[in-house]
Amino acid sequence: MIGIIGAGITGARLVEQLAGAAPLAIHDRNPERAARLAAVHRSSGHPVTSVRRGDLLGCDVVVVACAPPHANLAKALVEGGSHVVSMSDDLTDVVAMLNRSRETAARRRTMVVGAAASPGLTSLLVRQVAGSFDTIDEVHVAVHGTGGPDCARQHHRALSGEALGWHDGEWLRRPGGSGRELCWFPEPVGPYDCYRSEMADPIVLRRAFPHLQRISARTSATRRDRLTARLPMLAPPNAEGGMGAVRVEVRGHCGTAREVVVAGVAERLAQVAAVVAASTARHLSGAPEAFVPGGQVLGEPEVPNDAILAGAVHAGIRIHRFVGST
Amino acid sequence: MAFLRRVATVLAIAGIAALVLRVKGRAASRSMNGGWQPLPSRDE
Repeated sequence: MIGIIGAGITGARLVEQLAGAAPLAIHDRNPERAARLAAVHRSSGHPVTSVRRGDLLGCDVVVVACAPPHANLAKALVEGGSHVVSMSDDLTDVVAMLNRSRETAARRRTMVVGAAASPGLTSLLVRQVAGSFDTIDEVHVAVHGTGGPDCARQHHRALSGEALGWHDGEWLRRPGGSGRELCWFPEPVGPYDCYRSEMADPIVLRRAFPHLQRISARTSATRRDRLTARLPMLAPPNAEGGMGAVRVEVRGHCGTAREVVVAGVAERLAQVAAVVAASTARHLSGAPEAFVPGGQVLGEPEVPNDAILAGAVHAGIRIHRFVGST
Repeated sequence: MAFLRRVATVLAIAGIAALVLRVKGRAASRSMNGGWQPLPSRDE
């Protein structure tokens, strides 16, 4: 059985992806929302039930798709005997979960951290693209858009936080909202101004690709986003953001030549995150021995990255590569 | 009194304009000549 915590926009998409693959148990802080979601899928003949949080402890795998922080929740689930897939994109939360890797490994359980769009798909794309290089040394990530309301709140917080970047062997800390760069995303999204923000991607990518010399992560933002980043959100976020996009720019060497490959995906971010988390959960549930016990991030050599990405592509994620001069 | 109000209005407008211009700025000039193509998966 696969458990899902969170029945919001991303949780609902996750249930769509996983319904039929395994019996599902959904928990949400709003029990009516979870019951409604379960009823919709039960009416289509899928074994989906709405449960209390304590009832998730018996699940083989639990996907945490609620708002961060997930660290304490993930710890309790691992102690209860479940493998965990966390969709958190909060930097502090991701670090906290990875810091518990040893305790997770001691219980012979796997905790896949940051299995969403960014981080998550970004690491899978880098692993895919890295195959066309002899060596890679730079990765620059950019994201446009948000998923559900919790994702929009996280985007707002990230722009006022402290952005991390890996630069020639040391972590650089820069204020969120600085470092403007015009990034081109796959159509129909196109170009957007992107800025440094407090994203978990550099930590995840550094763990998955420890030999990288430079890692940066940026998110798109409007003038209003940057102006109001340090204030409370002035208006409640939309139920779901519009079309989003993720892109990775990978630099490295092919023989003696310096090469750059830009790959990306344009899709609603909640859908991207759900597809990646669902593919990860399906593999973790079906073949837990393919994962090394402990805290893992997508893109690490010990994770079945190709199979997870193939699952995401099969679910409709279209990966594009930029062809031309950058 | 009217004079002070006019000065305060001008200062407020100038302050807001400065704030907006500071936030607005100009994007780094970068262009991409080319287009996006589907990336073949490894098993294709």
